[in-house]
Amino acid sequence: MADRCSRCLYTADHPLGMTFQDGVCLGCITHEEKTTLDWSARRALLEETLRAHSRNSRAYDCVVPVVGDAEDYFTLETVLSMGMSPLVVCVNDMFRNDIGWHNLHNLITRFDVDSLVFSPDLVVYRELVRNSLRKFDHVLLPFLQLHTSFPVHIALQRSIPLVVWGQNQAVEQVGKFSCTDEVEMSRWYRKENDLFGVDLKTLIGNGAGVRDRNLNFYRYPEPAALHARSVRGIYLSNYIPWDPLVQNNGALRHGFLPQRQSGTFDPYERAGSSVYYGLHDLLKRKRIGYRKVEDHLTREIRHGRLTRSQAQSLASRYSCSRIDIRPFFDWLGVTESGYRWFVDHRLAVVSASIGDGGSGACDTAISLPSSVAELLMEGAEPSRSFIPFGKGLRI
Amino acid sequence: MRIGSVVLLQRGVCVQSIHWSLFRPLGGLQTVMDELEQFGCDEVTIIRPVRKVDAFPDFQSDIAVLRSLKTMTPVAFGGGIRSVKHLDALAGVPIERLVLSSAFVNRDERLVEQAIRRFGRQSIQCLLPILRTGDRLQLLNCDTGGQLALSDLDFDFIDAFANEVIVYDCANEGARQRCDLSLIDAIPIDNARLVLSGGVGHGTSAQALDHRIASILIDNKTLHAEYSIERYRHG
Repeated sequence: MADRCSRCLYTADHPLGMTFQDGVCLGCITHEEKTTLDWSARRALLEETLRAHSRNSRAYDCVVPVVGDAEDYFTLETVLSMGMSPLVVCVNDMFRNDIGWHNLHNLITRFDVDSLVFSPDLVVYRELVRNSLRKFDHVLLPFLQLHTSFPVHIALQRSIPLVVWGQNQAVEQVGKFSCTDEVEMSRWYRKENDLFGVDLKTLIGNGAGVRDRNLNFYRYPEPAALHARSVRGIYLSNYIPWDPLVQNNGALRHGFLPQRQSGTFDPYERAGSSVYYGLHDLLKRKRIGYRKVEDHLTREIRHGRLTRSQAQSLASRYSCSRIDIRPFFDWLGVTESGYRWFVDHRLAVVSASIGDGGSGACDTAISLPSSVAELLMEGAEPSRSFIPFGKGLRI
Repeated sequence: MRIGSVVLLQRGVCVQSIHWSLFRPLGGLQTVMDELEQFGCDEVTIIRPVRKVDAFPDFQSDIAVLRSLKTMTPVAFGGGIRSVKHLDALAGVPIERLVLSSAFVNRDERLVEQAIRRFGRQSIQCLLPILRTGDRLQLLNCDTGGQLALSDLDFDFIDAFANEVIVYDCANEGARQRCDLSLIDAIPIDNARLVLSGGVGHGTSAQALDHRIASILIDNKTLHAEYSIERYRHG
């Protein structure tokens, strides 16, 4: 059985699971649907679904969960273009830099929508992040728990019948489903794909210094309650031929600020995060053997903007970039000796990728094929990182 | 009528099979079972999708996953049970029913008798993977990878040794609302002993109820939406 796709960069070790057919991964096979499905019919199906949930008498037709990412601009623009009245719900991950706060507040004001930004108890959140790092080599699991449950709680509490998510990453990355399966949000989907099998009980285990009563919104609502209130969640990428680089480029006209990254060419995805291409990317390398740039490169191979050999070459170029992880440990309140211990004992296998506060970029400039470069824009540099609460706009 | 689900187990993790040829990853078995239990699934049939070659260590490692399963939902298991050694490996595994396919297709009387001796006749299910090509109904032999005419099958043997027969519509497996209910007309066994699977949709349950079928098994789709089984139950 194949353990590496002959078309893209993915291997059998993908954290969402992977199968192959004749040496080609299911992600690549499913991607072919982008040229074979009748997308106008699928868009009509989406419009029908949204229309069924649109009620003029109700304040909100749907909840749109956001993080302030470029993808959220596309999602929100699409929902609004179909006449929906959305409530935008955001969970503060405490890791935003000034670009991240700008992008979030610009999204809300630009599209002139009602919004709810939830900031979790910082003491509890930090303890969960510490626990997540200690047990799973992952710093975003507590955020992911909240991001995938809080908007659903809001929908349930306010009887908003629909939650509209953007990309179904299990389809886009590994082809776990066909778009025609129209897979919906569910507790199972969340645990298996959004949380990589780590639910709250597993995340906490024993030894975490948090009380059960402080974890309400980290838990997904009871499926029976969602069923009783007919709350559903859909993914737009099941109805629209998803092309993140093109879509995210479109967010620029709405004032979205891309961020320059040393570890990838994509300045859009997760722009404004202080950890996503920092410690998170380093830990991803440790856990599953590759960095985020390989997801981006695979995506571009599938969209025909890169060849596999170009992508392999770019992957090796970007792999030499170095990551400054010290600011994260300052945020976590770790002492210098604690930081040293962690680097020596827990990050030894990826120590070559740890930098010391410089730009982190490789010594020589990396040139990209024009098919990709024409969709990129020079990203900005953040002036401040790890801003727990911020205003991204001057009003 | 029971409403259950088919779950495919391949190398220790669940996969979805489409048209008997394409496998999509699904996830961990325990997570899948936890949700099916929450949905009120009446039974779960766990199948190892074996096509021709199957190594015994692979069988053993899948059994280890099955053995560690924690669930209150009745479980049927099958796929790759080709010898008494395989039956012995299943000793103590918490399953309610045993699903045999090749043993019935190849008329392996000794293996079926040994299975009955260990699990009881009431627990034996015969899986018939059927492929309709025009007017022809072909049976897929998982052991050899070949096909034979459904009419060549020894239904007296099946009637005598299997408690229930799972009629599996291979052409429509993984599809939505496509299950070919007319396949049961070709099975000369009382409908009350038939289980239908492959492309089962929301509307299939009402039709199956009309035909007094014992059970329908939803393939792949069960986890595609929250509480999906309710929609099938009231389809």
